[in-house]
Amino acid sequence: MGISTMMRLHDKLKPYRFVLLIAVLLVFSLILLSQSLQTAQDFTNTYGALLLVNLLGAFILLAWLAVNLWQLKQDIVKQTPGAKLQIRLVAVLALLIGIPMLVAFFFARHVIHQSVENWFDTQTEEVLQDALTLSRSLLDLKTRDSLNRLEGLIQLNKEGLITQPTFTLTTLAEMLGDRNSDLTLFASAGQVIATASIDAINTNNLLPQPLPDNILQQVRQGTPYAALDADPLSDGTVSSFIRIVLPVRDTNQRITSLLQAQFHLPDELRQLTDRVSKANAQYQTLAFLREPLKTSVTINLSLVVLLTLLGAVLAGIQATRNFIRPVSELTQGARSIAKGDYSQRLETDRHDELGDLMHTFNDMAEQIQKSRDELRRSQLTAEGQKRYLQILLNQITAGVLTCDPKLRLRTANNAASRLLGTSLDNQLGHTLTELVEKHSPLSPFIEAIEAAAQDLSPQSEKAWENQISFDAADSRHILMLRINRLPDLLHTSGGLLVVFDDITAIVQSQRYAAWQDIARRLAHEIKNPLTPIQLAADRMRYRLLDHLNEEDARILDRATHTIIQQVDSMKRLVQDFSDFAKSPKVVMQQIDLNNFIQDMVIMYPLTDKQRMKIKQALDAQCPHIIADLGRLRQMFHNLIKNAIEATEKEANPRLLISTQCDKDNLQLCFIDNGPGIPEDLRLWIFEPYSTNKPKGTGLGMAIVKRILDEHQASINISSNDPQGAKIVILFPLNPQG
Amino acid sequence: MRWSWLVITLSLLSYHSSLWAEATRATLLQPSIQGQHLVVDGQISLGMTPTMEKALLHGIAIEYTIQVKIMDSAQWLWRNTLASRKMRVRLSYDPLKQTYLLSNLTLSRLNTDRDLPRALTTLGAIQSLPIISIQALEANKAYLLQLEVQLERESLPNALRLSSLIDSEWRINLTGEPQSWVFQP
Repeated sequence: MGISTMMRLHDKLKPYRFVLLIAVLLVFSLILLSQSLQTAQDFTNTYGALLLVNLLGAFILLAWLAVNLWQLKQDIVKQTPGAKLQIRLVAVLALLIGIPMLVAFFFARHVIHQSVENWFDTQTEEVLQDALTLSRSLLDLKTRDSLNRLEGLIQLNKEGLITQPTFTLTTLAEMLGDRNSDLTLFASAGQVIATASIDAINTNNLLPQPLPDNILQQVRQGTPYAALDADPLSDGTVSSFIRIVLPVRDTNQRITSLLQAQFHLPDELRQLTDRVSKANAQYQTLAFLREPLKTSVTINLSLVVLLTLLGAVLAGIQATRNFIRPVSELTQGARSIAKGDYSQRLETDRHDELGDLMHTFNDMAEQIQKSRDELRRSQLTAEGQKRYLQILLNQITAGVLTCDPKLRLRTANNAASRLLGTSLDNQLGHTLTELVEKHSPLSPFIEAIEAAAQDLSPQSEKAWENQISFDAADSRHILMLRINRLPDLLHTSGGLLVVFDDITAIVQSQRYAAWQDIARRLAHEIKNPLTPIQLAADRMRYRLLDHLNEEDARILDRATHTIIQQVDSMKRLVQDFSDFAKSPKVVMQQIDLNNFIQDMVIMYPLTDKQRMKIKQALDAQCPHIIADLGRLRQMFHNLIKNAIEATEKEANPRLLISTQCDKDNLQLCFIDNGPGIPEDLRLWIFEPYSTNKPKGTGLGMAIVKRILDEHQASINISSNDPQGAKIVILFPLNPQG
Repeated sequence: MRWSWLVITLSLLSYHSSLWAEATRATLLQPSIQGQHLVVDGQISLGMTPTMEKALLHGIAIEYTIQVKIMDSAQWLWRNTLASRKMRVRLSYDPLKQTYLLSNLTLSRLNTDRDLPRALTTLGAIQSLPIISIQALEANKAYLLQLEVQLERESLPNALRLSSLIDSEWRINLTGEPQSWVFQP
């Protein structure tokens, strides 16, 4: 076996090292159990150590189990992946192991207790007891017989024992005829006087042993001693013999000496009685050990069951932990992926289904990561394209917006917000209906889109075009709408692409061109006959006035006067039209607008007819502007004239002309204290022939607008607070072209 | 809890053995110098509870270990034992002869007696037990002599050992109070 194989085996067994320890403990327990079931004395020195080892092992396992259960609880609290599954598996394992083990425990305990009880039989006990009693009786009988015989011999040889003790003792021994007997005569003080033996078996005691004190005292008091005694031998055993000790009395009945006779039992009798005694002793020992044996067996069995159960549960915890680990890692990996961490990879050297699953998980994570990276790249590309498109759209002067099929605003470029006069960025996602609720002026625009949505079929490739009027805050605008159905990507009704532009200037230009044409024709067709009419009226008046009577003369005078006056009026009108129709060549030059204003104001001194007071508030920092002096003068005349006419009915007519500059524009402002310009008139005030004044031609503001267009300037008309009209003109400081 | 007995047993094992001295008593030890040795005489009344007596009559031999220690009287963290002498005695019963067999396993002496108290007295007799050579002692220095008696559970049948640990009827151990003795050569 190679070192690497050994290392692998070591790694695999490492989690189970405690289990192996348990196995060793169990082996010890089983040895302990088997030995405790025996009563043999050959297992005396390791019992306590084994018991202690097992108890300590049980405590260690219990502590370890407690630690493991606490860890499991912590895992549950922390919601560690796989913890609940592990708890279930451990519980099932504990039940699967524990229940059969407990059943086996109670069954084994019962069987063992029953077996122990079966060892004992009342009849056997009685027989053994009877045998013992019989043995004792036999020995007692033999003892009494020996006593009687010895007493009789002493009576016959009393004199001889006193006078010739050695000889008499030998004679007595021969008379006893017992080959296994010793006779010893002791003085009353206990000293040996003589001894005699026919065939001494007890060769260990060649010299007679002194009488024990208790026997000596008993016999000296005159009480014979007869009993089965035991003498310890040098080999650690005892020798059984019948000891008879009798007092030897003289004629005066005084005890002169003590005669001891030791009758050694015949071998057959001794062996039989010894066997009976041993058998009885063994049975009595077993009977006494019955309950301790049961207790011991129960405790040992319990210890084995406890250790096995603890070991099984702990091994189960470890095994389920090993089993759950891949599941936990898979769960952890899945959670990481769910959180967006696709770099998670699982390491495994398993070659089973779980190992395959972990490899598959790694492949899946890699694929997801690749897909995510590709998606991210696509998103970046899409975002770039979207940004590019947004920039492009924002660079377009035409308004572009898109709606989804439910007419919710999806995109809108800057031009759309500018043209519609409201920010659409914060309206994205809202429906057009919601938009119109917030911005009512957009109503015609929204209605046009809704109409287009109805007209355009989902698969329509044709564009819906229309022109609408749209009243902005400052003026009326004309919008050109082109609406297309967006491509249907999800096989549902596509949204709308709305492209629109403000064609007010174009329409206005077209109108101006038409008006100019009309004006030119009017000037040409009307102006020519006016002078002959006027001359004819003068001539008629001059030739006929003096030839008519007073009444007719008065009528003629009045009629010709009217003709001349109306012709003059028509000439002015024609001149105005002619001016409007003309396209004089504009000569641009640097003009100090402040000086120009001061010069212009001088031309409107206060008179009885001209009561309007003109004030100036000029910004001295304003730079020069590039303008045509003549056209600028005409514009000023028109605006001042309008102000004078508007303030005719005011008690203190006033006009304030002011300038103000920033880095891009020069702002010229006219504020009068007239009645102001009605709101509806503001929308078409720059249209030719639009006026609310009875004497006006309606061309003044149209000419003003045209002059301002020539200077790339803008004009805005509003009401002045609290009274009057406010006209704001912005001259670009850096005009294009 | 059914396993609480394990805790109790371990706790009992850790207790000082003097708590168990219920049936064993000792008279005063009598040290003396014989030749070149310190010898001790004494008498111990070895404990014998009814359960132990019953076990004895059922053929179970009871063994005791009698130990005499001589220690320095000065105590630091623990007392330094200079020497100790153990004597192991055994008591058994012969039902046929109705006689108690008394064995001194250390001195290899064997006696018999029909009377249990007398047999216990005989077993508990300490006669001229040599403890230490006087060469190892310092003149006029106080020493402590201590007597300990233990029931040898290891000699009991296996089935009885666990019960002897748990059952108070088997607690007859004795740790005598240290007795001061001054060596005067």
